[in-house]
Amino acid sequence: MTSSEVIIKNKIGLHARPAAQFVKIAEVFESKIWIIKDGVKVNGKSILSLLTLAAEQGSSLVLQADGPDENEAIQALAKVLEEEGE
Amino acid sequence: MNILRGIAVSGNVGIGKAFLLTSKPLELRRVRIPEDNIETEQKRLEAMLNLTRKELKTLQARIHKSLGSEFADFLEVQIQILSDPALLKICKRHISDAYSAEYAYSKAVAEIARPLLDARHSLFKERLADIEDVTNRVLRNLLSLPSVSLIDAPAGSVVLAHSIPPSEIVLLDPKRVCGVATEIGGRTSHIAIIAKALEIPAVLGVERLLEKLKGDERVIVDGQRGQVLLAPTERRISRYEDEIKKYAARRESFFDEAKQAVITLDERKIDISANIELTSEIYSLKRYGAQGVGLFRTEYIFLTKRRFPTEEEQYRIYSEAAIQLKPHPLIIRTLDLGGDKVFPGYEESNPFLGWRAVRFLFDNEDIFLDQMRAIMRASAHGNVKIMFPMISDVSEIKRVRLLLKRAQDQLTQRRQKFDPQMEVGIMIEIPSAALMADRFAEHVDFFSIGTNDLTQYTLAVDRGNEKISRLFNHYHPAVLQLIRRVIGVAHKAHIWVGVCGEMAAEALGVALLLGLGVDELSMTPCAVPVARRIIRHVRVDTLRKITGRALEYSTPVEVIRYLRRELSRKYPELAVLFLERKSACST
Repeated sequence: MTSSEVIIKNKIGLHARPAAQFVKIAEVFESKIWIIKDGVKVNGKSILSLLTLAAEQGSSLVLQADGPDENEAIQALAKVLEEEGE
Repeated sequence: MNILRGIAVSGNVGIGKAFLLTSKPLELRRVRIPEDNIETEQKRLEAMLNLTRKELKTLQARIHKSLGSEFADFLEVQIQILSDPALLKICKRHISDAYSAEYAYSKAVAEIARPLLDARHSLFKERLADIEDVTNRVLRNLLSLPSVSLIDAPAGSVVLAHSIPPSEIVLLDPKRVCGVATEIGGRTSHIAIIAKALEIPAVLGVERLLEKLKGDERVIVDGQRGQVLLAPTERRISRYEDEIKKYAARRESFFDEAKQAVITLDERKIDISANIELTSEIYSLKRYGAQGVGLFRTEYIFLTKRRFPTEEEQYRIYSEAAIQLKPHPLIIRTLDLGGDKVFPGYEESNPFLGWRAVRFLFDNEDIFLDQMRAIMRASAHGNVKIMFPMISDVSEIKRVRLLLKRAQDQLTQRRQKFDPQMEVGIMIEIPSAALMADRFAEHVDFFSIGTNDLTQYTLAVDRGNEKISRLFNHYHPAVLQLIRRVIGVAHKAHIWVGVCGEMAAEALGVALLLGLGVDELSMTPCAVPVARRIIRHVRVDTLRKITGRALEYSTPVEVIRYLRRELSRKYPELAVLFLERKSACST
């Protein structure tokens, strides 16, 4: 299991488009993915769960991955969350 | 016949047959299934999710083709919801507990989306509309209910709905839909903006509309007066049909007018531009005969997205508009929103005198710079000018200049193209700016007078307040004196002056402003033909004399009475236009 702490940089937070992009990338990996925010842990491949986190710009999240490609997954997904948006 | 009132949002009049678009959430009862059926029930759900996915993909491709990626993207979230693993897990568990697929699915969605209901940020709450939209689609498929879609609206439909879900708004086709009425929604709602862009008559916020509706009656949507007439009498219909015919005939003559040059009898060339908020309006403004855009409002880009658009998103929109309008100008006004519109929960007792426009942007420099860079980059593609609203103090324009410089440096560093000569202007809409216009003139390339706000601030009248709205009158001599002063000062400093308020959309206002020496008029597209007609039939030196005398009167009523009499006498062929003091769109 690998985990990493990230801060949302995107101006609009983990909102529709960024969340959709996150899920798209998460689905590529075999590992299980979770996001933890304020003690709430949700499935990182679930768009609805991501939206319910209502993670705004500046929120601090913990990314967790467990599986054969966990390191790559964390790397790729942390990048999505830390992108400032286009 | 039943006459209902609502908010007049767009267009003229539409008469057609009711097309009911039900979008209220379906109410499902808890249904138990026999244990033996659990497996087939799971399979049924899967099949229906696949079917729904196919439907949405088709829709997405279609929207992408007709309206562009900007509108197609939002469906991506809906499509992902269909294969959401967390949702499916809960849903399958409910089916294993011997609940019907319909009940299991709606229960699972409710459970998983519950936290969104009390999300602090309204942006996230907005997603509930998408979730509801896609859930209803799945449930309809499960229940084999015919899903009513605007795709099926026959020609001559008046679309009636509680609200129109996001995946349907994009299907509005002006060839088949001749009117829209909904129970909820206001002037800045998504549906209002699309209806306006497509010139479909629309009345929103009509309370208890569906309750009063029988189902298949004829309906009249009067987008001018804000009325919806259910099952109108034959007499009403024929009266409205006459109105539509007259309107159509007038439009035809307007489009002829659009081919003529805009030059006065004494050969003053006047620039006629339009005020718009969507790139899709460029097509109609060209038909009406506007040359460029004198006011591109950017608030709507924000309001439809419900968040600040990124630099790239803005750049795409602005550059697309610049290319379509080239070589004519595109004047982009930076965000003119109040903090109350941006931060839900933030309230002011006096928003019009509050934290809005540049005052707000100075405190949010990132947003300001994003917009500046987007506008500058668009200037590489056409004749783009930038304009700043709500300027009241010279220090503000100096600060704007510094920020513009910083944005330029950032673009240079990024090796991105822009026009370093792009014109920079300010709105003159606060009396302090009008009175001090000479000091502002040295810092800018043009002024654009916003007569609506200038009137409101000069007369201290909130025109939204019905009790005092009769005091709101931009023909008040105090307002006219300020306008005259601004134009005089600007011309002395060799910069040009435009007017982009509603005054420029009235026949009387056009004549008056020409007399005061204005160089450009910008108005709502449908008012352009009347303005063009006036310009082609008058002499500026004659109007100068008339307006000079008009300004000697003491009240707006006297000014209007004098102008009407003098102008009608001088230009009898235009008298019809001058005698009606309404927006030139409805005359």
